[in-house]
Amino acid sequence: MSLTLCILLLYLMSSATLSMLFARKQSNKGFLLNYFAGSRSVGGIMLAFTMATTYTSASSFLGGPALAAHYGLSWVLLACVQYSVIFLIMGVIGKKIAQSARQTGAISLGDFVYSKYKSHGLVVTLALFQILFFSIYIAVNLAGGAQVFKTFLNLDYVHSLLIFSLTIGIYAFFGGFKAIAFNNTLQGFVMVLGCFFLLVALLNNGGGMSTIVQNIKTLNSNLLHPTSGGNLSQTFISSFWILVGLGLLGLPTTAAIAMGFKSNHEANKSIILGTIVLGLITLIIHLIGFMGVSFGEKANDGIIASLAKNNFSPVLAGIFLGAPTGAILSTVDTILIGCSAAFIKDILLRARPQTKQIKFITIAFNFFIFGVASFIVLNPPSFLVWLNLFSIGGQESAYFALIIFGLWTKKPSTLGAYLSAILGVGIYLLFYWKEWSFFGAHLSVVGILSSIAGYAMGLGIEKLNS
Amino acid sequence: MFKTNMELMITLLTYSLNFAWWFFFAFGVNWGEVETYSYIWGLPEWFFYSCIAGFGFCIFTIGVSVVFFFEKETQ
Repeated sequence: MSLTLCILLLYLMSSATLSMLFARKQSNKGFLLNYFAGSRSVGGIMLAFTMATTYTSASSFLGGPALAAHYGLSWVLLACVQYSVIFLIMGVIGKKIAQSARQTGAISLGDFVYSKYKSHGLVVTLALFQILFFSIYIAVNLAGGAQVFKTFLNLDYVHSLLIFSLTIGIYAFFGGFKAIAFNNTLQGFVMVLGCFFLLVALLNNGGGMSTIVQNIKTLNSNLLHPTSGGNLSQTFISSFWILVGLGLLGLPTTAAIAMGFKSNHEANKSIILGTIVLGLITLIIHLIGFMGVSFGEKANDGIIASLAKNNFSPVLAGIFLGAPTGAILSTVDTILIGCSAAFIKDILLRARPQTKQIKFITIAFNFFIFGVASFIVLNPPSFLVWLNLFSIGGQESAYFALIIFGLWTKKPSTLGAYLSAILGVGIYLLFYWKEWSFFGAHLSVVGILSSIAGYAMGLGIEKLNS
Repeated sequence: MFKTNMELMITLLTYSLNFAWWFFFAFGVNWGEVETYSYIWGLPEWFFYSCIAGFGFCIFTIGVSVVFFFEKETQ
């Protein structure tokens, strides 16, 4: 299996090199602007791939298929709500945020929040939430990568985690994340190809879809049922149209990406292309997880790696590994930027505007976050997806109301924004801690509703006082 | 209080349509027990209609919305 790993490392090195070369051609608008918003010069195709691949992280590429193997087609059904997300996001907030960013010169979400609500305190509070939830998000991806390395290296989980974190860290350090949009486009191609290759290999080895499905039917007929024989309720599955649907409108990453494109024309093209790319990757990789049951694979986060190992030659497996690694890299690079932006722009530069050595601090901070993230998943989570969704739900609870109201109402309310973030996250965490249920839906729903309620309360109080 | 525009309305409408299709073919129809399933491309009918034909449907509705109703000029 060391051949496999060699090929993967080769892939990482070429990818980093290409990114560096491409980055050199980018304009020199200053480190901050370049690093944080890609100089707002991202073309349609790159934007499409950036959006598609940023959503496809370790959770969807590795974790999702694991649950598809566990619950069956009902989980694939659940994953398919994501077909419409790029369209939804771009249609509701994408262009407005980009417009707002162009007008105010905002390059991070914190800038945008300040431009609407004029409160430093709010920006700092949100930045802290962001750093917390983003660290978890990164942790999930590191754990996902660790599972992949574990399968191919035959090492224990902790060693795999450390090696993988180091690999990503070095990749980042050597400019692998310089041309993020380019990097994501590259990873996107690899992911789509990887999915197709693995699907074809499985269909070949399994004797066709019909045979595979009938085989699964004999093993566990629940896996063919839309609610997995009742293991997943209709409410729970449908609530994902909020968690990974409407709720995404409150995701800071989304807003940050949307701030990066050039023109409406580019945006329109990218919506359709991005939808196709994301849809293909999501559908195929989850279907593969489900099909894995027929091959005797265990339903855990290592399933995709295991399927690749057992159905590809070592060389092909090495090439394929570029896909989940790409999924992770493309997500981590965007999230890391968000994290750094939150710390540097929203907290540090606000407190001490004269700070020099920004580049150095950014790199140091990145390494720090990596350390924290690795620590969070030192004990591997049982299923990555749940931890990932916790992070996403948390972000949505903080941001949903203030992004939507900020963009779509005439007079944004600062008190409303404060209350929405604090109540949203507060109630979200409360429900999680107490393990309360909210009508059988995912807890992100109660978080988002709380954030809306909080905003309304703040708005009401402000009106009463005026 | 909310200022709306064409893009927002179309987006929400299309999103709802896509949801309706997805929901209808997965949960709206009574497909019966697993033993009685029919299969298309080897996969259970409900799944094919909801997620595979549904993918085509989504691309169609999204394509129409973007091409015919989204703003082309940048402000």
